Amino acid sequence: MLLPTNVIILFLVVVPTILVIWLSLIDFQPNIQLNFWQSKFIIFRNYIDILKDKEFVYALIRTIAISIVCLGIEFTIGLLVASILSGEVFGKKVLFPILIIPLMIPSIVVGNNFWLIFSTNGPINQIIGKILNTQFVVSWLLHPQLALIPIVLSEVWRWYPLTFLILFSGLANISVSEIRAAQIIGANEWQIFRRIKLPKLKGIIAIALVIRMMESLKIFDTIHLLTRGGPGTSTQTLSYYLFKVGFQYSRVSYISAGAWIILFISIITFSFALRGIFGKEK
Amino acid sequence: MRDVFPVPGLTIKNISKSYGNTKVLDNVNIQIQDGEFGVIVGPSGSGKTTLLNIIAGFVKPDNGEIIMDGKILNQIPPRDRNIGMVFQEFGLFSHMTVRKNISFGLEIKKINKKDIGKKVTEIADTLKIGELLDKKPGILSGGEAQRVATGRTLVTNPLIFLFDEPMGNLDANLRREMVAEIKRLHLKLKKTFIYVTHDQEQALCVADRIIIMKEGRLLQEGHPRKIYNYPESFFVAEFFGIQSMNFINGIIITQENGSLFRGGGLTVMLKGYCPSEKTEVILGIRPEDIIIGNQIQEDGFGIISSLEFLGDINQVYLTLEQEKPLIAIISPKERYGLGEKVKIKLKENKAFLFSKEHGGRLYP
Repeated sequence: MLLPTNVIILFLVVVPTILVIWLSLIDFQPNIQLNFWQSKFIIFRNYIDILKDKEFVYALIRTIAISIVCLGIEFTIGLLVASILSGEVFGKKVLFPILIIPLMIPSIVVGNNFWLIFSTNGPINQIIGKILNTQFVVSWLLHPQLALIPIVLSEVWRWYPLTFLILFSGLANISVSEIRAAQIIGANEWQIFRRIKLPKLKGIIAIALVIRMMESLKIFDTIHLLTRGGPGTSTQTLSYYLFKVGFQYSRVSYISAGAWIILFISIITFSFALRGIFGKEK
Repeated sequence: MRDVFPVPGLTIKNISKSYGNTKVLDNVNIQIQDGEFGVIVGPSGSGKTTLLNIIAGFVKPDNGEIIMDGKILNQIPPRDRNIGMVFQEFGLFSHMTVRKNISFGLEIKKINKKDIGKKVTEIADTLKIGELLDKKPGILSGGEAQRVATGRTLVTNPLIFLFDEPMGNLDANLRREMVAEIKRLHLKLKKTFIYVTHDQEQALCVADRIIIMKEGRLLQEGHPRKIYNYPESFFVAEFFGIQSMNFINGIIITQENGSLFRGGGLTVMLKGYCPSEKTEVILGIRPEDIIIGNQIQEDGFGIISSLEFLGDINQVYLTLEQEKPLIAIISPKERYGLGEKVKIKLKENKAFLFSKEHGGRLYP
């Protein structure tokens, strides 16, 4: 009975996993040697090399930093909007679809739009110039540090509707009588939020956090469209680095080792994060 | 010291509320005296829960005022009304232990931990929920959940307690027990209680004042005895009583010093009732006010179609010239056989007449 499922799982999960493990242990570079089974076994060489690779380590740290900043902003906005919309708001039916539009726009459109908005002659510079009443020229996307601002903004703009949606459904599930009970006992809005709503949202926040964290650790399209990792390597994230090294420099084995390291770090981080959120209950 | 003064009653003045075109409450006026146990009773859809929500402040009335202690509450948010409420689904905070549920009201007022602990123990003793304190609400039974919800309300020392009837899925016995518990609490606290239910039996048992509502309107209010003895409308008469009232359709024939009711094969003399013309009416008589026998001066005859032995009383079903049999309660000493034809007499001054047109009481 289970055979078809097992076969599917075998091909979807087990085979690629074994393949990547194997790839990470050999020295396979398609531009030199096309048949990977003829490549030399170098065991942990790739792992050691990539951990010593400053570009990789910086990309890792940068990705985590971008994720944390994006998630922080997304959750704050998402929770705020969800809280407002779960009350009685004028024009809720119109507001709701408008708010989730960013989710439906393809990333290439979002990326190109933000590229236009933040380009040197773009509206951002012009608006700031109007306000300051001077000629304001900043090449956002060509500045090693400032380039992170459009990246973070476009990620937040695109993804906050997801956290908003998830948190909104969580808020909608809290029973009215619990909220009313807290009100009549004498709790103010903030106390209700802190003591009733937030603890009840804990589980759903954890789920949203995991979904978004996984997504944002893979951040690629925004980087590719806005800066291509530049200037230099200053906005290069993990997946962009892996893409560059793996497919442009053809070091497939090397990035396979990198992929395993990322997976390992992710698993550890998530299990700690989840334990931090759920563990306290007991 | 709040407790030294008499506890305040509650005045509900001209309250109306509509949702769209549906009128949920229509000009309701109720006065509940200090320390009374008021029961609002009515079938579902009568607007009683809405009324409770208006008193608590969760729903804004379209019209009218809620007055407590001489103060108009309309503009005061629920948290400042000093009202306690136990909800239909109890609304216990499911992520907190029972102890935390009860102490919540004190913690948000920033009272020190020692006093909170003392107060919680005190409440737990009063309500006998000491062994539940470290449990989560999810595993409590209906009765326990109600006690915890009551305790959580009690701790904030409100002036008035509101109880919405627990969810319908509790069995009748348990619900009765819970009401009895609330009644005991009322006797102990001597505060104003308002209990909402659709169960008239409960209402009769515990209330100092019964408020009967139907379709958003107040039909009658008063002491249970008054409601039972002088129902002001057909609906109230039908709704109240452990064994519901018997009704016979008929007409009134006016005579010199009163009138005759004729219907269902019975002819009943009604002294002092002189309507101007022939009117179609419904006669109502409670089962305990019907006498049957062979040596009485009869109002009519009936055939015994069924007999139910209920211990200290017997219930007799009498077939008349109408579809629905008449139910009478007799002492088990009187013995009759099935199919026996007996004389029926209605006790004097115990019959009610209701208008067939609008359901209002015409006599007495």
